[in-house]
Amino acid sequence: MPEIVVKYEDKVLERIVTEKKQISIGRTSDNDIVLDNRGVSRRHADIEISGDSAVLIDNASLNGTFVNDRRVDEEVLSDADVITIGKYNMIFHTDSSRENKISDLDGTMVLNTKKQRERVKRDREDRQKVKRSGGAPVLVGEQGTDETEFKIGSGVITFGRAPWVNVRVRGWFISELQAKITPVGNNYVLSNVGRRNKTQVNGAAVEECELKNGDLIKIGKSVFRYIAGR
Amino acid sequence: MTWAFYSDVHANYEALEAVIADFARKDVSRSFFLGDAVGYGASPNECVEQIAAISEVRLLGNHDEAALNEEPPGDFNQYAKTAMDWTRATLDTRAKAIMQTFTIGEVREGFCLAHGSPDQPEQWNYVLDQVSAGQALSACSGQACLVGHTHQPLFFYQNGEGLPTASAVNEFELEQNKRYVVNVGSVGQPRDGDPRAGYVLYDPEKRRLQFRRVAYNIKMAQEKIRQAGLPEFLASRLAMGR
Repeated sequence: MPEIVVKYEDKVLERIVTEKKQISIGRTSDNDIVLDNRGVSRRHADIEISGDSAVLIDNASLNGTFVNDRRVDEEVLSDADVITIGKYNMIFHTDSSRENKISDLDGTMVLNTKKQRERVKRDREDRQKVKRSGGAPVLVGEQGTDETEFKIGSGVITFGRAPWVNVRVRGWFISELQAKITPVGNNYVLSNVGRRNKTQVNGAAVEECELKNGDLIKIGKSVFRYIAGR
Repeated sequence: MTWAFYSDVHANYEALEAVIADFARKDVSRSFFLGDAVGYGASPNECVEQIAAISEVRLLGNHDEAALNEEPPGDFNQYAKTAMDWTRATLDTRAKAIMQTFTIGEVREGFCLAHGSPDQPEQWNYVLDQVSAGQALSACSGQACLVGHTHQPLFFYQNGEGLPTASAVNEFELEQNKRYVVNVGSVGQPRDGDPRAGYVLYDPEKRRLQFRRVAYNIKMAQEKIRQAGLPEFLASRLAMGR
């Protein structure tokens, strides 16, 4: 049974475990998940469950529905996805019987209106970048790189100091081939393959990581932001 | 002592030579070839002879099969087709006789070896994603299967049931409770953005696998392709690893 942890700012409001096939989210009290705030539409969004899969559908809401910081109309949910509506974060778990650790619930961001505006603006820009790439994921150069927008296609993307890599990266002791992004099915896997681990995702050193929208990738001194494709 | 698993030489003798030199540096005592000795490159006879001389397992790849066949290769792209016509005309009787002994699949030391997916190996299906990796594992009995064909070094591991997980780290240990599909990459025409020749080195004592990359004389291999009158793209792609 899926479980949804509803948080307002960083406080857990409730945990919902339900057998219902359709879970409605909205401001009015006839919803399954009631988010009592003026930024939320009356019937803001629905989660439809069938078998093992869950789909989140935004009901043309005014302020939008976000999954892992990306505005969505319709999105297949994965375990631990964070749904954001207004100042509420809902963490979706495919199975309520999993071990609950308090640490799982920490670290979710606190929204304020300014942040929300920036998020909407950045999301709009990101969508345009993905549109320009024909729906493929895009790497945005944020720091220490000459790349501004790099399209990730169906091939492997290489990072390092060798002349033949796709993306040159800066920093001390960078290997010829330091890291690569490998498309596997519909996913993209970032691997550190250089001699020393010079690859970080969202501040933590990784040997390997499946990329999610908004991930900040740091290789040596070069920083990129990953925008998932459509 | 270590073992080497290598694949997709594609008539690139310069790359094969560099890899064999690396075998010596890495104390390789046994080597297993996973198919596609010929096609694309300009040194088919030399490669077939060399592979037969050093490797205890020699698998047949789809390009090898096409080279031995009279029929036009149906699902080849234009470059592969042009190269195949050239290869058929260039292969000598000795190399053809050696290739006739290539097998379609083997099980050695608990490893299942195939060129494409071991699930219907004669179909040359690619192991590219989690679904095809799962199919490959369900078709073999051992703990790991090693394949080539996609020219992309990559492995998948399965912990119990469910879809295998993909990984591209350089080195890993075979763990008792997991099963693996390992794509060993390509010696003669890597397509993962790294132009260096690739193969897998295995330490049977430590049960550790390593994806090796070896620099080789790409310019010489390109020059031979051009002199043979093969399509320019087959030469230029070597420098890009695409």
